[in-house]
Amino acid sequence: MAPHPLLFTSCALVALGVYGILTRRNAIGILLAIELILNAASLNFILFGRWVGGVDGQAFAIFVIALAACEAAVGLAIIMGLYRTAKTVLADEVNLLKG
Amino acid sequence: MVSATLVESLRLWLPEVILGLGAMGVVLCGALTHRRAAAAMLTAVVLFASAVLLVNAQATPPAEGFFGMIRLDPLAHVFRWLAWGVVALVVLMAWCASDVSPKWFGEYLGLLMVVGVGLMLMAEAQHLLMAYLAIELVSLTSYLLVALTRDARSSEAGLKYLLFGALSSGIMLFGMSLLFGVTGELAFPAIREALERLPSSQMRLCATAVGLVSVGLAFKISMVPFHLWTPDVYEGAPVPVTAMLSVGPKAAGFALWIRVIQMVEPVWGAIAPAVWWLTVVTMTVGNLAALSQTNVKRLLAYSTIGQVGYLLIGLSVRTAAGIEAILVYLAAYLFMNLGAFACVVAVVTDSGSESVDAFRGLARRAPVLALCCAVFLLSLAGLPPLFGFIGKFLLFGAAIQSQAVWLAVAGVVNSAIALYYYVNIIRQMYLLSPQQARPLRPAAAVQVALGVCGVATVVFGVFPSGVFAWIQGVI
Repeated sequence: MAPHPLLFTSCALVALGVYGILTRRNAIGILLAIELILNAASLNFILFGRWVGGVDGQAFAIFVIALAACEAAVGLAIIMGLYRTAKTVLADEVNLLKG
Repeated sequence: MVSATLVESLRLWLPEVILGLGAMGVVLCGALTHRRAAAAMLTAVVLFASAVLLVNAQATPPAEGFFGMIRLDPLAHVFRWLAWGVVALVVLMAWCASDVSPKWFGEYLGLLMVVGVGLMLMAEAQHLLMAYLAIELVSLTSYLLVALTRDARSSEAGLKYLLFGALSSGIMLFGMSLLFGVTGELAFPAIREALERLPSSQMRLCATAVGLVSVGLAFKISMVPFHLWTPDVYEGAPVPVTAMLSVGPKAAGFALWIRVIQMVEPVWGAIAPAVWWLTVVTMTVGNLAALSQTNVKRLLAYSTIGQVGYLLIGLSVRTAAGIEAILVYLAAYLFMNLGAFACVVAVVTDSGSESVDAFRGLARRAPVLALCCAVFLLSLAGLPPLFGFIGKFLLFGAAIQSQAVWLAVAGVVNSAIALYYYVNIIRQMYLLSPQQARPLRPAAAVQVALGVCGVATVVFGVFPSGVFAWIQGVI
């Protein structure tokens, strides 16, 4: 079977996500890049779900969306906490922990 | 109308149900009463109830629950007990440690119990969706627990853990989606069947998918090269949380990985050589990096990476003996590592310092505590007749049995390296003079944790037959 064009989209999204994680300094930017990876996976699930038939793929994608929301909530809470104490959200400026 | 399957599954899953509901109750209780004692009492009751239910569950035959989402077999049962043990011992430590504000004590204990449920689910998962949900349940609650002290170091550790963790679970999820695309299935047994009749042209894609899924699991058990977060997170987190992270997710990660490897057996051959090499690299990196550490939490973080390396031997050889050795070593690791962390809790609470120097002259200030600490460290180093030795003996034995003598040799050489930094702490405690002369009395709950861990480490080391009998029924 020939790969569906949307498969290239999802692979490109993952690549963009990894690139964003490696280059972004802002912690919120990194969180957004991680969302890209999660969305790429959701896209794959929906795509393959159509291929295979049944609702397994779609159901998985909905769970991924819900968990991505949880992750964003937890992530923003931690970033808020960090901002209160360290007065920064730039990931390369927090470096108290070293050994 | 509730389906009969659902009712039956909930009945089988009652220990986790109680633990999960109890967690919510404890969070509410903490938020409403603002009293540490109330939250702790409720936690104790819930833990006791779920232990009773776990004992009852022991007798039930292997069964699938929730429409094939989870599998409650003897293997899962061992890990349910390990998860319960982690939560119970860490709650004892959390009660005495002073690094989390009493205002959030209810949330603290509640989140710890939620992690317990997640750990149990990781070991029971029989479906890709369940595996992902369980890992995320453990991860998300762990991020919050790490950042709970709310000072700069703890927040930084939380952020680092979150970013590394979210990246690795994203990669794992992408691998899962590819695996679903290749096989068209989500349940482990069905994937296994689909893989067996997979055309060889798709083998490479499938191996890539399995590799990506393995990245997520490797992150959870801090296997090199996915270990970079470990020392920073362990250093910044509250000590009891560090103790939980060093045992709980490692044990559950191994449980899930054992199941994943059984599932992808037909294509695992492509990944296996990488895991063999990384096993040796993991133990060597962990032990060498531990040599130069001065912060005791960082030292134990690297020691954990080394221990994970030994455990990976059991996974690499892929035999029943290997899995049995993993189970025995994890049981030993639970007691000896949490015991060591209980000592750290006692020392850090007393001195406020996390430096190895804080252990100086401990033998004069607290002879029993120092003796317990020495027992745990020697057990971690793998000296007979302690429990850690039995586990290591089985792991190296499993390697030799399956013709992988060099894995066993690497393990023995690493144990010798590890002895140096474990004995260094013992030297600090027994041979150097203390910084403060006043005696150190650990709090009662830490004494209980120390007692349980100490007795288990020594007794199971001298009489291991009970553990063998329990584990042998599993495989």
